This record gives sequence, C-alpha cells and structure tokens, in this order.
Amino acid sequence: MSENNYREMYLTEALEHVDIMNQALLKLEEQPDVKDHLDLIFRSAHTIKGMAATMGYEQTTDLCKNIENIFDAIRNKKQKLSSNLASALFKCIDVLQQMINDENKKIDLESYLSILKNPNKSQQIENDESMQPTQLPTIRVKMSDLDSLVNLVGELIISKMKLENTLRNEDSIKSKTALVDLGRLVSDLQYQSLKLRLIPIDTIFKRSERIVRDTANKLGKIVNLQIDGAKLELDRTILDAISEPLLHILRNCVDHGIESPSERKTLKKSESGNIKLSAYHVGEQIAIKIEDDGKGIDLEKVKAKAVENGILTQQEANEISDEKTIELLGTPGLSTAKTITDISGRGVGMDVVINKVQDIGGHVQITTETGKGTTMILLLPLSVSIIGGLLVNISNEKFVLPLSSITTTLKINNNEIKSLHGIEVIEYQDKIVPIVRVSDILEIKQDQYIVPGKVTIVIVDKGGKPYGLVVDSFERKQEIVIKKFSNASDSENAFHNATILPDGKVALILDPSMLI
Amino acid sequence: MTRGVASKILIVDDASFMRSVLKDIIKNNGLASEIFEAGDGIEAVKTFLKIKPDLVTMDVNMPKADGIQALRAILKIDPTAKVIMISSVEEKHIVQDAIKLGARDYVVKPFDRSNVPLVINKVIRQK
Repeated sequence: MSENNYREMYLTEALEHVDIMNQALLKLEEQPDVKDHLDLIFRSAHTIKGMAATMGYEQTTDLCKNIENIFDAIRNKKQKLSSNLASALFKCIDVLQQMINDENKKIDLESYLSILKNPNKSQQIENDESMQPTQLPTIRVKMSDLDSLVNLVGELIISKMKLENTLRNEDSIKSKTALVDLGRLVSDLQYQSLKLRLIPIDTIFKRSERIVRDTANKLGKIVNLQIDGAKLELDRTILDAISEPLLHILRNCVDHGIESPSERKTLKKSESGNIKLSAYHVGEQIAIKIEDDGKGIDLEKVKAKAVENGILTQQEANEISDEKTIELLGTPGLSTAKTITDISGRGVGMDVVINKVQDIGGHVQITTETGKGTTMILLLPLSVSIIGGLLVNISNEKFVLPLSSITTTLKINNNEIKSLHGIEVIEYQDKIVPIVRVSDILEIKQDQYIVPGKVTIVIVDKGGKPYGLVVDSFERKQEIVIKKFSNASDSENAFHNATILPDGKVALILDPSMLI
Repeated sequence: MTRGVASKILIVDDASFMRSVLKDIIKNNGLASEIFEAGDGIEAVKTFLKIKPDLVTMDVNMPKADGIQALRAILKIDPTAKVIMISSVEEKHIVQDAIKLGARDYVVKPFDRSNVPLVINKVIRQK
C-alpha cells in the first residue's frame, strides 16, 4: 500500500475518532460518573495517537498523549472534569481535528498543553485566529469516483467532436450556436473535473524536508533546503507517480551530491550544502527543479561504467559528448555510486526515476558541472488524461503530437534541408536543427508528393534542444483524450497511448522524445 | 538467518489503519500465507477459535475486551498459542504483565518497520 493510501485511511479513521471524542465528552459533562464515556474518549485519543505516531505526525501524537493523560487522571480520580477543563479539552479536540485534516498545519502546541494544565486560563486562546475556519467547506471523495468522472468527461469530449464533425457542413445558424454553447459547457466541465484532481505540490515538498534532514543527519552533512512554489497544484496521479522519484533524487543529492562539511571547507565552499527545490509553470507543463551545489555528476565515471557494462565501446566513450553521457544515466543498472549505501542503494537508480517520469508523459533534464553541482528538472504534464495535441498526417495515417513538446511548425523548401556529417539538418533561428523523418522510424511509407518541393516540419524540444520532425501535413490543434493501451508498460516504445478521433478512428499518440 | 513462515497470522487491533500497516509489513516480508484480522478482543477470541492461527499480534487498548483479556482467553483455549503484544511506549507495564501471563514478545508503537519482522520471525521459530 502506498503512503498516500495510508494517509487516506488515517484521515478517515482518525476523524471518526474525533467525532467519538466530541460526542463522548459532551455526554461526560452531563453524566460525569459514567465510566463508559471516559473509556471511549481515552481509547479514541489512544488510537489516534498510535496512528499519528505511525504516520510520523509528532505534534498530533503529542497532543493525543496529553489528552489521554488527562482522562487517565480522571479515571483514577486524580482529577475532576471541571467545566473549564471540558472547554479546554474541546479546544484541543478542535485543533486536533484541524491537524488531522491538514498534515502540514503547525500549531503552538505549548499553549494547548498549558490550558490542559491550567484549564482556568482556557479563555486565553478563545479568539486565536488559527481557530477560525478559513478554509471553504470540503468533502472527501474516493479517487476512483474522480477517475470515472474524468473518464466520462473524456467520452463527452469525443462525442462533442463527433457532433462537430457531423454538423460541420450544415448551414443552420441554430445548430451552430447550440454547438458553440455545448463546446463551452464541455470545456468548463472538463476544467472543473480536472481541477478536482489537483492537490498542492506542498504535500510532497513537506516530505522532502524530512528526507533531506534525516539523510543529512545520517551522513553527518549539513544541508540547507530552500523550497519555492509549493502552492502550485498537480494532478493527483502525477503527484503520486513522481513522489518516490523526487524523494530518491533528493536522497541522491544529499548522499552523492553534497560533500561533507570538511570537504566543502577545503573546497572553499560554505560548510552547509544547498539544495533548492522549486516548482513553476512552463507553458502547458509544470517543472520541478532540484538544484544542488555539490560536486556534480562524475561523467568520466559514468562513461567508465558504461564501458564496463558493455553499453559503450572504449572508442565511443572517448568521443561521446557530455550531453549524451548524461542521457546514459537513463540506462538500467548504471549507478555510479561506488558502494551501495543505505541511503541511495535501494536498487533504484536514475534510470528508474527517468522511466517513471516518462511513464506519465514527463521528461527529465539534467545538467551538471564538476565541482559546482547538478540541476535536474522534471517536466510534467498538468493532466494525465486530457492533453492538447496536434493532429499530423504521415502516409495517410493520423498521429497526435502532444502540444507540450512542440515549439513550432514550419513549411520549408526541400532544398533547405542540408546534410551535415551524413545527418539531415535545417537552419532554424540561427540554429542547426537535426531532421528526423518520422515515416522512416515508424517504417511506413511517406507520401512524397503532397506539396511538390515543400516539406512540413514540426519542431519539437527534447532536453532543451530542438529537433525537426518531418510529417506529410498537419491538421488542427485539438483536445486529445488519452486512452492507455492495456499493457503499456513498455516505455521503450514511441507510442503507448492512443486517442479516438471525431470520425471514430483511433490515432496513436507519438512521444517525440522516443523518436529522436 | 533462517526465516520462519507462519501459515496463518491473526492481527488484532481496533484501528483498521494499524491493521493495514501491520498487514503490509507481514506481507512484504513474506511472513504468512494467510492473514486474518479482528477489531476487538471478543472478535479476536472468536477468530482464534475458528482459524487456529500460528501467531497473533495483539493490541492492548481495544473496545469490548482489551488485549489482556483476549490474551487470557486465548491462552486458556490453547496454552501454547503464540501471541505478540503490540503496545505504545507508556503501556510497557501492562506489557510486562502480559509477558508474565504468557505473551511471547512485544512490539512498541510506532513500529520500527524492520523490527516487526524480526520479532515475528523469532516468535514463529519458538516451540
């Protein structure tokens, strides 16, 4: 079971016990001598405490322990339930509820513990602002219900597009207006339903703080973690998929990136290493950036390891560029750490991290500088189920390219394609851009003469570098509802997803980075 | 280390959250072929009678009948029953009583996830 499922179970069960505590405390005020009420509150506080401790919520655990102690004392007749004490307890139960609902909530625990000790002063936090409900009312919904809602919206979009297709040649103003209205409603509905699945990145960033702190402590390193953009929201499925990879990257940063304080001192760096974790929007994507000022990735070591494992020949290793070397990190079994440490050696290498991110339609960009540090950027789609796409034709087949990967489209003359060291290139914005003929890679025949002498090119971005994909022609931009292939675990394949077009045909969604 | 495998383990805890956590630990370490659950002391004794588990993990604080009462009843049914108490730190004195009564070992909450399999293993291998 994943941490998130535990969190969901904890939330549901702990809140049930808060209800029990509230009700039992109300009854206990009326009937102070009924032991059942006492036992009930005691046990609920105890149960929440056990669960919170297991989840690692220290403040919640602490508060429950203190509530438990009070009822233990009342049970043993060492203390009486005065009305002041009851109010103090109600306040504590309230704040307990808030802490359960919001795992990141920080409270001034001491002031609550002090009103439990001195209930006569319980008015002190009467008007504490943090007690005012500032959040809008919420309800909890099963993730599977949200999934089916989004699926239904997807189906709705497809049938709307079918309808558009059918009515395209109609002249009736009425049907056109109705269609426009319908279109607007469907896209509002789509927006709302996708929004339901969003949760703040904060939820994993908070865990990052713990991971970095714990890992640094274990290794005797000093690390200063700076977090930025934690309020941004991401689709729940994407967040789930990247949380392990992200934590792994951070562990790696502390373990292999950041040097020990003494090493850093010798290098004239500050004794404490710095890791900056930030999230921001990049067009239709969200980027999560992890920067450290450690020693950087030893590319020579990566090459040596690649030669050792037969991935490269010695000659290839001598000639390979730094960028290509970094790409090698995505090859299974190429961890450069000398010994398998307790921290990072969990059999999970960078390859797993990169593949996991690619599985959800994202990309990992890595730049590193020896002695200065490493920067990793995870580029993630906003949604896993509906994306913007460009419909392209290749040899009478329709394919979809995700808009997130497209920089621009060009129509150029055939003779503008030059050959450089046997590679076809074009010049675009003063850059030499390699050309990839999609039909060759997919092994389908390209229609040569759609527009004689002209070539249609889609410029895509891979790891910050432009590539040109040659297609026969392109159609309009449109919303693409992703249909996963049932056994799409093979991330080696350029397409593992498909969509249904308005005419009912299936089009494959191409992952440009797999074509290049 | 030789590893003992219990064919049936009964997890007793009133919080389904805690049962899930324990269940995952037992599953992930391949410690049992079948896992059963009970949510209070009475259910624990009933389930024990029905399935005759090779090992029981027993929470202390539970509704209807607590872990100590359930332990007593189980040991009356089968004096060789292997019961591991699950307790929070401050229940240690209760756990010491439980050990005197015949509980085989105890695990403290919150779990140290690597410790739980060790204790279970140890107890499974006991005669």
